[in-house]
Amino acid sequence: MKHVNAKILIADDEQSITAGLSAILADEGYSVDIAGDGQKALERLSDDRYGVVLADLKMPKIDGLSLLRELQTKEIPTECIIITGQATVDSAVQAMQQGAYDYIEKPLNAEKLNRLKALIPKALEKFNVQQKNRELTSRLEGLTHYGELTGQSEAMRGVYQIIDAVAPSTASVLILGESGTGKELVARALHAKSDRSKGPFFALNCAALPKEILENELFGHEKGAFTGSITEKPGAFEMASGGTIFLDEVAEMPPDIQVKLLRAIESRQVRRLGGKKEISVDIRIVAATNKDLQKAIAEQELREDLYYRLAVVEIVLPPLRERMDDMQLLANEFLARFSSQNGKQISDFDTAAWDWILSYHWPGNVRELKNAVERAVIMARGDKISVVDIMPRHLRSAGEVPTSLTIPVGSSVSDARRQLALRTLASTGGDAVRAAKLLGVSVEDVRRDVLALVNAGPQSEDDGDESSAAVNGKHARPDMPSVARPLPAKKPVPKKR
Amino acid sequence: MPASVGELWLDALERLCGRAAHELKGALNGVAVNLEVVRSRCERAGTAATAVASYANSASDQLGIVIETTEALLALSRSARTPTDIARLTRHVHALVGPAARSQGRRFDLTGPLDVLGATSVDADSARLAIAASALSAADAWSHVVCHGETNGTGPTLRLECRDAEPASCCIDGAIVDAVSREGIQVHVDSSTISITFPRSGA
Repeated sequence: MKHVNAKILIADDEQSITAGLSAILADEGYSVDIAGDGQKALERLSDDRYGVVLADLKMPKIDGLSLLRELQTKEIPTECIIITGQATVDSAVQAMQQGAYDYIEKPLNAEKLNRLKALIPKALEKFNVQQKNRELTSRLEGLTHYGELTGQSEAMRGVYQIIDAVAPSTASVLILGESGTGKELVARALHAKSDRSKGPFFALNCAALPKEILENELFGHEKGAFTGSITEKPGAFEMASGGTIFLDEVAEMPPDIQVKLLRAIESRQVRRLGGKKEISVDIRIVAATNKDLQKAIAEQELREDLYYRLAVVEIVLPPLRERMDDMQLLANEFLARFSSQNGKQISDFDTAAWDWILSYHWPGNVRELKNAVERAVIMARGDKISVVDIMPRHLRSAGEVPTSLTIPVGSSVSDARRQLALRTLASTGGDAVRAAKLLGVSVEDVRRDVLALVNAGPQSEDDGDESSAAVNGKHARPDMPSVARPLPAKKPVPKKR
Repeated sequence: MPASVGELWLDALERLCGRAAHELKGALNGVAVNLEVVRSRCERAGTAATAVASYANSASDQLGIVIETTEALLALSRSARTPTDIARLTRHVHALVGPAARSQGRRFDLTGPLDVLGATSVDADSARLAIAASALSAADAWSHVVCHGETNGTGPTLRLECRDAEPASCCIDGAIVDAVSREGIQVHVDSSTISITFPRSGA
C-alpha cells in the first residue's frame, strides 16, 4: 500500500546522510523533514504529526533511545525506526523493547536502503491503524448512544467499536446475545454505518415462520410454483439486494433451508421456488442467535459450514445484568420516553425502586426493563415510580407471602435473623427501608443479612421452610423478589439525563 | 615503573581512532546514501543532471573526508621517521580530532602557517604523543580551539589556544608531560593555552 505524502521525520546530525536519505524518501513520494538532533526531533514530533521517525541511535542532546522513551512518556503517536551504527544486539533489542518499530544497521548501503524503503510502508500502515483506533476510542469515550443503541458501559463501547470497524466492510456478521439484548438494533447500526445505508434493510425472524413460509420469504417464488401462487413474488434476498438482510434466530432455521442459505451466501445467487434461473443478489448478511452455537453445531441443528460463513465477525452482546453502568441510563431514558408518550409528569424512581432495578437480574434484558418501565409509568400515581410500580406482578404479590416463618430447631441465631430479614423484605415488595423499619434495624443491616443469605448459596435455599427465597432468578419463586446478585450498596439516586 | 613513551603513544592512538571512527563511518554512510540517490535517479529515464549533481558532489565531499581521515590514521599508525615534520604531524592529528569536534558542535581549527615549525629531530613517538595528547585534552575541555605555530627564542612552539569566553580547566596526564619532557619536549598548560615547545634542530 502506497502512503503518498505521508510525513516522515529524519532525526540525525549527519547532514550528508540526512540530505541523501531525504531525497531517497522524497522520491518514494513521502513528505520528509529533518531534525539535526534529538531535542529538535522531539519538538517537531510534539508540534506536528509524523507517521514514521527515522532516528539515529547516536545524536547530540537526546540520543535515539532517549527519544524513544520521551515519545512513550509523552504519548506522541509515531512509529520509530532506529538507525544504529553501533551494531550491537543489545542496543537494537533495547530499542525494540522500548517500542521501536524496527531498526536498521549502518552502513546504509543499497541493500539496507531497500530494506528501509520496504519497512516504511508497513510502519505507516501500523501508524494509520493505531491512529484510527485512537480516534475511534476518543470518539466513543463518554458516548451514551450509538445508532439506536443506548449504553456507556465498557462492554457496549467495545460493541460500538466492532460495529464501527466492521460496518464499512462486506463481511458477514453474527450477533450473539440473550433475548432482549438488542441484536436487531446492532444489525440496524451495522447497516446504517455501512455504504449500503441507502439500500434496504430487511429483517426476518427464522424462528417465527413455518419451514415452507420461511423458504418462500427468503427466496420468493415464481407464478404457479405451488397451488395458489397466482403471481410471482421476490424473496427477502432479492428485496434486500443492495442493502442488508438480517436473519434473526438463524439457528432455528430448518436444515434444508440452511443448505440453500449457504449456497446463496457462497454464490451470491438465489433461485425462486419453482424458478429455473439464478438471480444475482448484492447483499450483506447479518445473522443473530441467542442459542449456544457450539451445542447447536454438536447436535447438528446448525451446519458448521454455515456457521463459519455467517460468523466472519462475531459480536457478542452482553446481558443487561452485566451492564450495571447502563441500567440507570436506560431506565431514565425509558422513563422520559414513556412519561412523554403517556402525558405524565414522572420525574424519577424512588430509592426503593432504584434498589430493586439495580438488584434485579433482568432475564429479559433491556426489553424487559423497557416493558417494566412502560408499565410502571402507566401504573404510577405520583411523580415518582415506586418499587410496587416497577416490579413485575409475579414478583410483587406481597400479599401471598406467608406472614409467619418457621425456623427449624438447630438453626443458628444468625441464620434465623437472615431468614427473617429476607422474608420481611419480600413482604414489603423489596422495600429495604420499610423492611428495616419493621425489623427495627438499619437498612444496611437488612442488606447485609440478605447478602449473607445470597452468598450462602443453595444450602440456604433448601434450609428452613417453604418461605426460603430463591437466590437465583431462574428459580425465583413468585412470593419473593428475585435476587440475582447481592443487593448493591445504596447508590445516590441517579439524576435523570 | 612509569609507562614508556611507546605505551603512552599507543594509548593516545587508540583514543584518536575512537574519535575518528564515528566520523569515518558517517562519511562512508554519506557516500553510500548519496550515491544511492544518484543511482536510483539515473535509472529513471530523462533524469536531468541537476537532479543528481548535488548528491554526486556530496558523495564526493564525503569521500574526501574518508580519504583524509584514512590517510591520517595510516600515517600515525606507521612507525615514524626522524626528523619529524611537526606541521604535517599536526595536520594528521587535526584530521582526526577536528571533524569529531565539529560533529559535537565544537571547533578545532588550524589557523596561520604551521610550516614555520619545521622539523624536529627528537624521538618521533614523543613528538606524536605530545601533539596528540594535547589536542585530545584541548578538544575535550574547550569548545573552540585554534592551533598555530610560532618560533621564538626557546624553539618551535605549537600553541593550542582556547577561544571560549570562559575557558574550562584543562589538564594533560602528568605521565605524558614527564615522558615527553625527558625527550626535550616541553608541554605547558595554562588557563587558556597549551604550548608544546620542541627543541631546536640540532640542539
